[in-house]
Amino acid sequence: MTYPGQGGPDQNPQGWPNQYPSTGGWPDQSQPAGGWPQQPPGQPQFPPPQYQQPYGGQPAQPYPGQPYGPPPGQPPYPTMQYPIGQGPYGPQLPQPKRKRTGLVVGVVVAVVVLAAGGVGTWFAFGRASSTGAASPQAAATKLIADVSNDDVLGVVDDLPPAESALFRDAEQGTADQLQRLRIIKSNDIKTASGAITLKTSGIRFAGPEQINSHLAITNLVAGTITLGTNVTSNYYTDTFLHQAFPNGLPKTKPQTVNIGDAVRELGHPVRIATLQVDGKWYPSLFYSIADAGLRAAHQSWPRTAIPAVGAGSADDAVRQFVQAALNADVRGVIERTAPDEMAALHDAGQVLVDAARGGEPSGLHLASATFADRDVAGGTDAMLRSMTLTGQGDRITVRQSGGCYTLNGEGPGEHERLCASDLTKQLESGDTTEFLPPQLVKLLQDMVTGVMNNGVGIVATQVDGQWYVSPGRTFTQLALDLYGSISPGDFASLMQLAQSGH
Amino acid sequence: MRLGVARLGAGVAVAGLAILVLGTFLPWLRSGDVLRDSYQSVGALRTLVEGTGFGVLLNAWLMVIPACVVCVALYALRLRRVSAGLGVVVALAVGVAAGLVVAQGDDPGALIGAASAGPAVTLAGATAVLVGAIAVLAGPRGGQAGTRGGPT
Repeated sequence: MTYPGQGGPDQNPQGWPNQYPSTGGWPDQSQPAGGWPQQPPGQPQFPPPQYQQPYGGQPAQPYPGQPYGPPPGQPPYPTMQYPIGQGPYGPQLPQPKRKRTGLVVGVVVAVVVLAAGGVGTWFAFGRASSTGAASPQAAATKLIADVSNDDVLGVVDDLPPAESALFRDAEQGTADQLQRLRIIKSNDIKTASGAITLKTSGIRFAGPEQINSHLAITNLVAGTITLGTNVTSNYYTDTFLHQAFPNGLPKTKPQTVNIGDAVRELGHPVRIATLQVDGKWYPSLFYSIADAGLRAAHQSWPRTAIPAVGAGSADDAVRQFVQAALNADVRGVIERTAPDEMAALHDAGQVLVDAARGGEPSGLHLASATFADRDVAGGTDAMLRSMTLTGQGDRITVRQSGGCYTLNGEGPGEHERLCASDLTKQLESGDTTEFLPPQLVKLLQDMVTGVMNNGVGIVATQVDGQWYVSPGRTFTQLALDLYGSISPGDFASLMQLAQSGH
Repeated sequence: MRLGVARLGAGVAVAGLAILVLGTFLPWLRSGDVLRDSYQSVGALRTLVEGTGFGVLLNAWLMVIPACVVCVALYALRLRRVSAGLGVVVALAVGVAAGLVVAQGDDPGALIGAASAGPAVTLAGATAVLVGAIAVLAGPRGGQAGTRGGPT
C-alpha cells in the first residue's frame, strides 16, 4: 500500500491543471495541486508564487465550483502577457515532467484488488450455495457420506429443496413437542444428538438408470454400513432416559451390514432415486419410496406425469381436493397436490389412476364448506368449521363448534351431536377399560379431546402463486396436534406402562 | 508524527482485512464430523432459517469480501478517510458476529456446534482493521496526510 500523496512523483491525480488554462489564468505552472510543501524530493524547488494565486498554499482544497478563477472583485489574470517561455519572474525554468506513477499505481492496485475480490466473492457464493450434485451418482454418494459423518446439516441440504423444507418444518415442530413432553432438553437443533450412528465404507454404485430427464435411479451394489446407538444425556432428559432405560443406557454392539450380501438377498441393487432440480441432482426420499412401490407392484415409471391444478386460495384447494376424493377421482386428487413436495406422486400417479379405474363415486357433492385458517409452517391449515353435502336427494350439514360436531339432515329427527366429552365417557365405559389399561385410556381421552376441540384440518401450500394440498404437511400437523394433546404426565404414565410390560 | 501513525494504521488495517477474509474461510461450524467455513455455514444454515430475519443476516455475510475489497480499493484511490470509515463499519459488523460465535464455544457433544478457529481468526483480523482504520481517521486530513480529492 502506497501513500501516493506523500512525496510520490505524481501530485495531481485529478487532472486539475488541464482545467487551469481554461480559466484564462496561468497556462501551466507545473506546480502540484497539493501545494508546495508536497514537492517531492529531488524535484526542482519552485517557490510559492507571490502573485494572486487562489490555490497556492491551500493544500488539499477540494476546489469547489470554479476554483481557478479570480476571486470576486479582483481582475482576471492576464493571458499571454509574457514572452513564450518566460513567466512573470523572468525566464521559466525547464518544466519538470509531471509523473502520474502514484495515480497509476493506485488505480492498478484498486483494479487488481477488485478483481481478486470478485473472484473471492464468486468463490464464497459458490460455497454458500453448494446444494445438490453434478450427477445422480455424486448426489447419492454425498448423501451416504453425510449420513456416515453424522452431518445433519449436510443431509438436510442433500434432499431436494421441497422435501428438505418439508422435513425441516416437521423437525422444528416435533422438537418443540418433544421438549414440552420432557423427552429432550432443548428444541435447539444445535444441541441435537443422533440416537443412531451410521458409518459406511467401500460404497460403490453401478451406473445410474435414467428414467426421464429429471429422474435417475442409482444402484448401490457394494460397501458396508455399520449401525450403532448413541443415546446420551446431553440431548435427552434424565427423566426420559430413566423411564426408557431403567437399567442404564443400552450398550449395544455396532452391527455391520454388507451391501453385497443384501443385494444378493434382494435380487437387485439397493435403489436410490435422484431428482434433478435447477440443474442439480438430489437424492429423493419420496421418489425412492415411489420407485420401491412401483417395483413391488411390477410396474415401471409412467411416461407422462399428471399435471398440477392449483386453486386461488387455500380453502378452494381443499374444497376441490375433497370433491375429487368424494368423486373417487384419483387423478383429480393427485392434480390438487403440491407439485414440488409431491412431485413423485405426480410422476408415478398414472399407475395409481389406472389401478383405481372403475372406482365408484360417492354421489355426494360438496355444496359448501367453511374453514378457520391458521398459519402453520410452510402453509395454511384449513380447519373445517362447517360443510354441506348434497346427494341422492339428501342434504347433510356438519358443523364443528366448541369441541362438538353436529350433524343435521333435512328429515325430522336427523340431528346428531357428538362432543369430546361423549367420546371420553365412552372410553371410560366398562367395555373399553376391560382391555385397555387406565394410563392408555387417559392418553386416548386427552388425544380425542384435543382433536375435537381444535378440529381437523388439511394443510395447503402455495407454489408459484397457486394453492395445492400438501399431504405431507397435513399428516405432520395432525401428528403435532396429537402430540400437543398429550401432557407430560400422560407420556410418563405411558413409559411406565411400557416398562411394566402390559 | 500523525502522518506516520496514519501510514502505520493503514498497513495494519490492510493486514487485518487480509486476516479477516482468511478467517472466513476457516472452520466456523461443525455438523457431525464435518467442518464448514463461514460461507458453507451460511449455505447450510440458510435452509434452516429461511424467511426469517436471521436468514437476511446470513445472506448479508456474503458481502464481507466485497466490503473488504472496496475498503482497499478506496484507499488505493486515495479516498482514505472513506476507506477507513467503511473499514470501521466492516470491522464492527464482522467482529461482533465472530465474537458471538467465539462466545458460543465448541461443544463436542452436540450434533451441530460452533467451531472457533475461523471466528477467532476473523475476530483478530477485525480488531486489527478497527485499530488501523481509527489510526487513519485520526491522522492528518487531506494534504497534511498527502491525500487529495478524498472527503475529509
